[in-house]
Amino acid sequence: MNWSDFWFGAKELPFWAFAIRAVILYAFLIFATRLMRQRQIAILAGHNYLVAAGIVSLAAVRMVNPEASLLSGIVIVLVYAAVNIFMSFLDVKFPRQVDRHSTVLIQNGKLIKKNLLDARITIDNLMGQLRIKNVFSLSEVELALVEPTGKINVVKKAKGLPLTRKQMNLPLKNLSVPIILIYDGKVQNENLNMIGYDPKWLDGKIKEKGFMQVKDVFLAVLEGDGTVHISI
Amino acid sequence: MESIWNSVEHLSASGFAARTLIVGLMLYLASRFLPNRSGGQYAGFDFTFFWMMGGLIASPLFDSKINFPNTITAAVTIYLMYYLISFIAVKSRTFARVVYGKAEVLVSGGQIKKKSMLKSLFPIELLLSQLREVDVPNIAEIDTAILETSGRVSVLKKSDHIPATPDDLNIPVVEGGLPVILVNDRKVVEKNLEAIGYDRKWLIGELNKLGAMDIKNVYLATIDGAGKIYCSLSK
Repeated sequence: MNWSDFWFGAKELPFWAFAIRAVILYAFLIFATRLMRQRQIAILAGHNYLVAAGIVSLAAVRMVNPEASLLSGIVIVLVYAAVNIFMSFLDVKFPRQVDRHSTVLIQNGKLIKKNLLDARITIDNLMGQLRIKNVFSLSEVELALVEPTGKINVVKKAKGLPLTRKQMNLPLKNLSVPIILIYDGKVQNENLNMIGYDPKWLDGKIKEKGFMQVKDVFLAVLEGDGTVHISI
Repeated sequence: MESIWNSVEHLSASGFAARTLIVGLMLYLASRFLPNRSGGQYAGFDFTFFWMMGGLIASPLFDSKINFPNTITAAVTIYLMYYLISFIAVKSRTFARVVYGKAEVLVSGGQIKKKSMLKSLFPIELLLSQLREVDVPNIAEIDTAILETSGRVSVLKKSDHIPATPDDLNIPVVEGGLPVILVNDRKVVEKNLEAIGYDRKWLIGELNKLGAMDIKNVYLATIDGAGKIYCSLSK
């Protein structure tokens, strides 16, 4: 076997060649999904899922067929990723033209028959999706719409929502996303600087909780209310 | 038999039927070894893994020239690589950032960060739709929104808009915890009963109070952390 056989295919290839082919193709696929960024994963998991699965398995089939070229498999994957990135770029630049927009199915608690028909959603479908969203009675619904990804989302009537702190006249509470201070025994200096504390302060906090060393701590986070949560 | 397992120029319909049975068995085996991370945790390399596995294992059905030994070699290689990647990703945070990507903050302090939106190729329409997905239809209620590596958006609401909790109103509560199964389809789970320090006699007494006269009538009975017993009768 020579390299050109390996890349472009031959009548027969040794079995280890397939192992290497698999490694190369998988590496390219991971690279491609990283290029497409998170957004693609969420959307692909929805309506475009089958296309993605089809393209990827096509590439996989080419890989195990000794006569097919590995290069063409890689090209398929990369071109598909490029088209996807281009589409989402267009979507960001000219939102209305590329993606379909959401359709309102229920407004002010009333079903909109025409839109249900347009979106090919039966009443049973709709009720089932609402139940999954924990809505069992249509009178609780202010608005329901079907997203471009095919998911149905609900806006409940305000009077049926849990009481908020504001409605209870409770004072403002300091909320923020917790900041990781120690990750697997290592101090995250960058985060510590960002919140304006030094390692000495962190050391004090750890001792306060009864731990001796930073490396004993698996995770330490600064929570929104200013307390430090520590797991060992 | 030879033609089913190995590559051949032409394969009869019955040959493909036999190959389908083998593929079905392989898919079953493959699914037995699937990683059991919860659905929401999947990142890009998980999805590519699933997509590729399906097509790969079924590939002897695409073309009679594709044989099983090669398919199995490739599938096993990818399995090993997949496990290696997930293993290293847990061990090394730097490596995890490379294969998973990084969570991106899209809304911070109530303001949409345009730069992050463009970087993640996220149009505003999609952001609003993702917010509806997590039951926060009004962006004005949001303090922070983060695009997670799984592609989903997580949201921290402003404190005004979060529901009041028992803690806010100083209402004492008891942690329920996970309920423990005491009776499963008419059989007492002795191990669980022992673990909470009660005996059969106590259980029968408690079930009698709930109207179950005989354990043989009980389909499911559980007890939660607060000591409350749930009982469902078998008809």
